[in-house]
Amino acid sequence: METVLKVVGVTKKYNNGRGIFDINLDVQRGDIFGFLGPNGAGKTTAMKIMTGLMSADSGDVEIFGHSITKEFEKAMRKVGCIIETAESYTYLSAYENLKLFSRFYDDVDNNRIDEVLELTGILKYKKEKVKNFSLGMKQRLGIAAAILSRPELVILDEPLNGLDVQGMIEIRKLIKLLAETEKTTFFISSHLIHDVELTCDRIGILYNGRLVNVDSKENILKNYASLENYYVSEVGKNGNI
Amino acid sequence: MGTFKAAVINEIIKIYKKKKVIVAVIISLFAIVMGQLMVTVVNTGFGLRAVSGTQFPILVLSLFSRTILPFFTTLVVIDVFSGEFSHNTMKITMTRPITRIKLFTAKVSAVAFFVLVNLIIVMLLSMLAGILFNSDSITEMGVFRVLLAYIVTLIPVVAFALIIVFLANIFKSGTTVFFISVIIFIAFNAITIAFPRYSSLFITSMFDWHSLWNVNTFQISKILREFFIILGCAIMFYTAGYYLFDKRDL
Amino acid sequence: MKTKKRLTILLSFCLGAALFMSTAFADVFSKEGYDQFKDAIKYTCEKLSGDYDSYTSEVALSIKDNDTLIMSNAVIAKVDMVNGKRENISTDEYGNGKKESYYYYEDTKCSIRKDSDKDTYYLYEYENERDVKDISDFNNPFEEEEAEDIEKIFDALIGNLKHHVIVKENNDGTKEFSGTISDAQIPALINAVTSFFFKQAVSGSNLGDDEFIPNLKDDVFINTVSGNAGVNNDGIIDNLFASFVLSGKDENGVEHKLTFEAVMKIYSINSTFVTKPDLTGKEVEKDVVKSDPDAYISGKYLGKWKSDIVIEKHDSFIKIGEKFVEITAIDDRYVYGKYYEVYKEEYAEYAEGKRDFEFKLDTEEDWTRFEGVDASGNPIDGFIWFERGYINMYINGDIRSEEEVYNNQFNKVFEE
Repeated sequence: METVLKVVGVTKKYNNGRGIFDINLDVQRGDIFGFLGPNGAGKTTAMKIMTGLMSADSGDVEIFGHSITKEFEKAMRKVGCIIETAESYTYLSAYENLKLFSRFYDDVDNNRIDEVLELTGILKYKKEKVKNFSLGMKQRLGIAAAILSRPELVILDEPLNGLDVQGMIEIRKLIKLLAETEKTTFFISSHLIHDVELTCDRIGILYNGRLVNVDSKENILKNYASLENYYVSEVGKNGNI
Repeated sequence: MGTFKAAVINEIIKIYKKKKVIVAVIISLFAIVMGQLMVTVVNTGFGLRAVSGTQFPILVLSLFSRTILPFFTTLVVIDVFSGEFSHNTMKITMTRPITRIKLFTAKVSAVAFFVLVNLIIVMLLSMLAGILFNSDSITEMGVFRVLLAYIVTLIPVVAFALIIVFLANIFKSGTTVFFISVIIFIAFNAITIAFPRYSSLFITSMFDWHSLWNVNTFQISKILREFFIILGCAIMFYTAGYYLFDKRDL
Repeated sequence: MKTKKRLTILLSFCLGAALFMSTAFADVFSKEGYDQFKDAIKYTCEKLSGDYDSYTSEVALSIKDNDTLIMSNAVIAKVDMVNGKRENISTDEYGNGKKESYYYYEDTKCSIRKDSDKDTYYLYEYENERDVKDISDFNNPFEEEEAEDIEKIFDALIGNLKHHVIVKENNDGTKEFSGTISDAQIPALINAVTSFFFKQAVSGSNLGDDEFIPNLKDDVFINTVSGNAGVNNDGIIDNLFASFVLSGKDENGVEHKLTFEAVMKIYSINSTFVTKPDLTGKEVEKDVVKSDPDAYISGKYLGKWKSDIVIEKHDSFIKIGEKFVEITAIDDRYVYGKYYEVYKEEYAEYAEGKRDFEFKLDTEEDWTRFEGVDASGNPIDGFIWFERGYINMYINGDIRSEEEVYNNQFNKVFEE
């Protein structure tokens, strides 16, 4: 098994005393890793450090064997991501937004842009300015931008935010499809237990800035009736809920 | 280098897609037309020919380089840095496979490109106006001088832009950056007027260093000195700006 | 890795700062050709105003219209500061070929003039021998009070034009300044103002002997300004050439190129001899010049001076009183006096603001100005002139009644 994402002893402390502490994590190729934790647990902080948006106080992140701090370009070459919120340039159209990103890669042409727009279901809004988009459409465009370069690792922070039920189902389907057909590895954060249970096959729980446990969904469901039970028990071990 | 080029193109497209560029061109055009009208009125009214065909673009440059150009350059820098930070769009480029030094340099290059294009547009428009209204005095040498004067103006304006870049990486709000820039601009100019002897210490006094190039015999030592002053200032603020840009947690 | 990056950043920043600071300060303390030229002019004036015993200077001015001479004037002056002698030969040449010259000699005892078209020498002998300084003194204009301000204004006007002054230093310690500016390099505003000034003030004017400067009406602009100057080993400007070319069209649309040129030379420093012309056997008209009585306030001004206070009422002038200036004493430096007003009884209502004060005049300082204190202790000042036969006095802040017909002339009161 090839380790795609390796987080080693990452610590980041904010001035208010919160932060993440000594996070160690491996994600294997083909995993759909669910990063579960309540709001404010430090999920976004961890993901920002993984993608180089933020620097850690200590520890390092390796993606495909390249350190994010020392070899940023190599590490990020096969990564697509949405961190915190799906943003785009609102004064540009959906197509223009994707066209900008496509320039960073060698093998992304206009056909690929149409393809990801089709996959995320917003092809018909291709020429429209993003400022007229709804939150769900912006989220879809964010996902389109994340998978544009056929990345081998996709990091998504709360990808289903702002989507309606239909959108959630579609995106979940898309994640499963990419994982199966293109062997894409996913690292998905969410605060919704149900959502993680439906999408992911390995699950890590982040609580109060610490990674409580990592296990496969199979193992968990062998021992617990549901993911929720597992979550309650794991967090309970750590003192409070 | 591939990703750097991509980033430069992207940054230029983003600047171009904002309406500011169009506004800058329209205001420049308006200023040129007004200027030419004024010159024509003065010339015919007083029976003078104070501004010849090739003098007009220089006249326009000496005003433009000290007003409209730094103003719009400041706005563009604020857009490119503060604007993206505050609209949270900086991260969508930062998570692409491009290092921050390349991204930073690409943004600065795009600003420089904007300044250059703005200068060229104003040069062509003012030359056209100059030719249309005073057809009698266009010479190859004159055109060459105009070209040289406009091109060299790029250098101090970009150095000034780097100061704004530095500010835009310190302060979060674009409005703050804008007002501090305006204050710096006014203060520099005021000090330059009050203490002309120390004008070399303030980059804004270099905006009209094109006059050093519009001479019959170049004063190489003076030109080199001013160039090194501008270069030193540019290196300082480029480095400081990059340091902040690189260190920044999003 | 991180420390290496930080070190690179720090190094780069310091490099930029060092480059900036060193060149900026070098620039602040460096002198461009323009500044060096200004220094040379100041130094030359300083030297000429005191340091030399004698010198010869030549100044030539000419005005040409499209390369044909309209008029030129050349003055060769020899100055001997030690003995107080000077000699000027001034020559005018006109476009029609006419030439006139004018000779002038002056020392402490006499002055001699002669025109080229007459054989007569006019000799003026001074009654009192004059001071050596009066003859050869060259006042350094840079020592005047306003010089510094004027220099600043001039610098501001010159602006970027100063970049056009090129200096070349030779191995033997001499320097050469040069510069040429053509119309495309002159800032539009300077060009416009100068052209307009020339158009209004100079064009069409008569230079004498029916030679006119062409009257430019349209398309007037400064074509070129150029000049060069040499500085000798002693640091003074010993030769200078300046040319100013103005282009424009006259009423008939004919193009003119007016060239104004000036040449100046200074030579024979400390080795110029001025000799008084030998007038024996020449036709001489002699005159004795008395010391100008007006330039010198003497005892004859002592005493009372009077002026009537007159008002205008019902279309007639009515005298309501008299004002007096009484000069009480005159010494080497000061003139002392008092001023007072006397009103007629029937016009006592005008006497309310009556002035009565003493004043002291410093004849060496600003000799027309006086200061005094009036009866109620308020400072009062004004100007006073000693004209031949009367005194003129003007009081600052003078509040006159509207009807008053003001007259500031005082006449001597003779005791009979």
